[in-house]
Amino acid sequence: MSIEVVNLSHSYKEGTPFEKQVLFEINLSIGEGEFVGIIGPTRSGKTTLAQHFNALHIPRRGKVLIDGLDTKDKRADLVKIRHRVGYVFQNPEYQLFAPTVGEDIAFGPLNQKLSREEVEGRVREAMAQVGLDYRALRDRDIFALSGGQKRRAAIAGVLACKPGVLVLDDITAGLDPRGREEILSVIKELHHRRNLTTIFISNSMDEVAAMAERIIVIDRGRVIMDDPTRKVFARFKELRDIGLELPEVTVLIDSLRTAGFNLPAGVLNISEALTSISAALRELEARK
Amino acid sequence: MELTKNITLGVYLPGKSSIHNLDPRTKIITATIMIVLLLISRSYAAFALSALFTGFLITLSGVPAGYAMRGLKPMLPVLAIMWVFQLFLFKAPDTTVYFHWWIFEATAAGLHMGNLIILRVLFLFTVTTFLTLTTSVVSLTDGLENLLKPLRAIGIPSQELVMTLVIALRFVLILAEELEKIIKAQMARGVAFDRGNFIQKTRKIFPVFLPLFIGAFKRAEELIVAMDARSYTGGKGRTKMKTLHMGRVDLGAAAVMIVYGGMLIYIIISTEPMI
Ligand SMILES: Nc1ncnc2c1ncn2[C@@H]1O[C@H](COP(=O)(O)OP(=O)(O)OP(=O)(O)O)[C@@H](O)[C@H]1O
Ligand SMILES: [Mg+2]
Repeated sequence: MSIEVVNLSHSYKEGTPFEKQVLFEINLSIGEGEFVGIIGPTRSGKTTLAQHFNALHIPRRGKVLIDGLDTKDKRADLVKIRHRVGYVFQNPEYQLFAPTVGEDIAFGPLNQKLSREEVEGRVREAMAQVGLDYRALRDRDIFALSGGQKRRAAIAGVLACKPGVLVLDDITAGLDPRGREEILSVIKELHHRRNLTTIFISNSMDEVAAMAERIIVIDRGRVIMDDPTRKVFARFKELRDIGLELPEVTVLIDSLRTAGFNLPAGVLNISEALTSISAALRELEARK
Repeated sequence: MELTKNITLGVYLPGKSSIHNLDPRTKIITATIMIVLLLISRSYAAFALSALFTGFLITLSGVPAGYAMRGLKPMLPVLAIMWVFQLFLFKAPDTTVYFHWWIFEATAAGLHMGNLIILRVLFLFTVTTFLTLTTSVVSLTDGLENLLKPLRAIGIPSQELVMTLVIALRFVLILAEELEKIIKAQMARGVAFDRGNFIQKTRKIFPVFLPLFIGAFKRAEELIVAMDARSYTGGKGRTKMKTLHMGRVDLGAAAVMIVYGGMLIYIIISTEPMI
């Protein structure tokens, strides 16, 4: 599935004294099977933009096309669009509203008017995909889940609708490093195995670097970069200026670079750093 | 999807107008007098004068008129239903019958009764909203506490009551925000809130209530903990950071109110009631 955003602007509380514009003339397009990261400092408008992808917000200025379908079109089937574009909310507490895990995951499929068996099959499959034990957790009280499990239940609830696009809004916020790792590997796996178009929103550069092939940077409601991951990271000074936290290796390698070592710009992780440093060292040896 | 846009009750719109600068007690007393006068108004002329006066106040405050009335929008369907009920079901002897069908009769008395009720609700809502739009929560609390202090002498815990009232007012917006989030979460998984007729839409609202109440209780609990953590033990012995002062503006307001009240009472006495 593809998503196209054309000249999109958005204001909250439009027509009241509290009116505030949060998106300014956004243009972007995301193709079938892509894994795109959207990063931006807090309050930059990431959530607002993402909620346009599944027609939770309908544009007043500009438009959003989902597989060519205009969400503004009166005849567009918004319910279908929302099933096709799965959106995992930033805060799982708000996403999960049924009493038990099983009931919550079944909510989407039930709205698709599937039979009881089909719904149960979807619940089982979705729970397996996110690594939740069907037998042990199906009837568990939602409030009794840990933070990481809640996140996974939320993702399962969306996967159970069989979406073609998965939009993940800051799903690792508030998790410990281990819970974070687990969620990220689930997401990676889903993308690789099912070729799911994935939009990964975060304000942690570390995470996005490890996950996305392409990064869109948003600052104060405007797209300021939209490039392959490495290219975006090469401009890390600008990223730091808008208040984003950079991976420490990127900063370290860059200071070595400015100190005169022959190292590439925009190094993303430790293993890349290792290979490039050893290559640089070998080169130095050779020159001696 | 934006529900909170239409919630104006309990919202404060900061400003520097003379209305904003009035002592909260003046505003509370004024609003109370206006409401009492509205409840005894029964003629169209009286409502016309009230409308003029309210319009004057809104203009003076600098609150956009459209915004001050905006909160009425979600109430319109309910008001319309109330009006229709009165029109057809209100019975009075010897009144003109406009229209007759089965057991229903649209009568002149019903029409006026419907109008009277709608006008009252409109004004009640506008006056209270206007009060909260121009008064911050803190000064509203201070003003009410101060005015109700004498009740403590006869054993009524007035400060606690005021605190409860103000918190309830704040919860209007909080609940609306909570509701918006739940509706969004359900829409994201295929509930078509924005589709269907009035009845279909109303039916879809029910599954929203359970999570809404759970959320509200959680918020209330957090609030209790926060108040406990700051050693709130009720009103007794609490001191104020700011003391209240009546000034020249308040004197002016009193004069304006006397003129308006006099005129309105004169109209109420001298004109024919609508019903
Ligand atoms: N319902 C709303 N009503 C009014 N303003 C809102 C609403 N939701 C968001 N905003 C404002 O819009 C701006 C953008 O918010 P948004 O949630 O889209 O940013 P974000 O990039 O997702 O931030 P975060 O990283 O904190 O999740 C913020 O200034 C926020 O205060
Ligand atoms: Mg957000």
